[in-house]
Amino acid sequence: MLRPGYTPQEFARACAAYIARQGPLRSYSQYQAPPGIFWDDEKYQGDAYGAFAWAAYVAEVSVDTLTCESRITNFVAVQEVGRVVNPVLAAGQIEGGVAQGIGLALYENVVWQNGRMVNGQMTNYIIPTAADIPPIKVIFEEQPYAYGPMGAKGIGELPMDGPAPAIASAIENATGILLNSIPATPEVLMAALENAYA
Amino acid sequence: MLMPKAAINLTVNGAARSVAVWPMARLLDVIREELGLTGTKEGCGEGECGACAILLDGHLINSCLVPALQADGAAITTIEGIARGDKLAPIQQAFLECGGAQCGICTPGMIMAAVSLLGENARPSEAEIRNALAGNLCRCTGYMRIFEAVARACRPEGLQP
Repeated sequence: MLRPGYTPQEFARACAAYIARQGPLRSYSQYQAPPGIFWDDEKYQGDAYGAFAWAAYVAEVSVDTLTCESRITNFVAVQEVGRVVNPVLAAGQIEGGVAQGIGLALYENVVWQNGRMVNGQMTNYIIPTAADIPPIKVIFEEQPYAYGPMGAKGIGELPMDGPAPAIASAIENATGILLNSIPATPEVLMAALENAYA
Repeated sequence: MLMPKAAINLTVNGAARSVAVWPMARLLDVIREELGLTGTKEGCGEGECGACAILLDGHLINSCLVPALQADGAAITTIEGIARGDKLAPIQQAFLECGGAQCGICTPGMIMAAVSLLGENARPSEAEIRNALAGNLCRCTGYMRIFEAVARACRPEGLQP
């Protein structure tokens, strides 16, 4: 219908002619799992996703029991992300995710009011600064994933999930208090300590 | 009645410029919109994040907090003034090699803060680097590679920016 170099008007006429001849254009596509990955959509069993990544996180935390401030003094992340394609950028993704996880664990408190976030400014929504981040050691355990590009798996999300539980566990180890909510701000920790030792 | 624009004179990255600005215009907006230098970023617009950092008469400042009129007669250096022609400055090259930039919004301000630090302290310790960059927020990198980049830029065999 169309030759290379067609004009928008020619394209519009071709579309109209197609619809007149064939009816509306319909396109179908479906995700096809890689070989060896099975998911039963009826029973919700199996692997919905083929490339789960794995990790272990260790946080060293010091808690000032006078000010109730917690500081991360050291952090180790061991990541299994398939094959590491670019070591510098891959480690940067992990370090960045860990820093966001530290923010989640200690500082970042989203306050909602009438369906809106009321502290959506850098002044009152506190994220970690260069002064708050400990040395972060990243160790990769490479298990190339057969169906990923060059053996890679996804890398960006996982390092945000583990640090907060590791930090909460370290705070428990230091104070005996297992918090059931984060962020572990000094206000929250002070109330928990006063409650525990009242 | 709307106040008329006022003419101010600036030395911008070494070149004399004269611009007409609204009396309450932020220096940040004059840099981006009047001077067309969009390397300087707006992050928070309230002086917390450092994305809009520039040098004003050699001092590191947040350009979102400075009224443009206050900069009349000043010399400013923006991120566009850091490279030497097509050649990156050592601090920029170090950011590139160390993975010091991810999304890039904090990067111009980070580099200006690093330039300011290295201008005052040629061989900063890691604690001094952390302290100097603590006014520049980064959401992506976790800061480690930024510290590494600043350290690499001032190693003995490297050149000072």
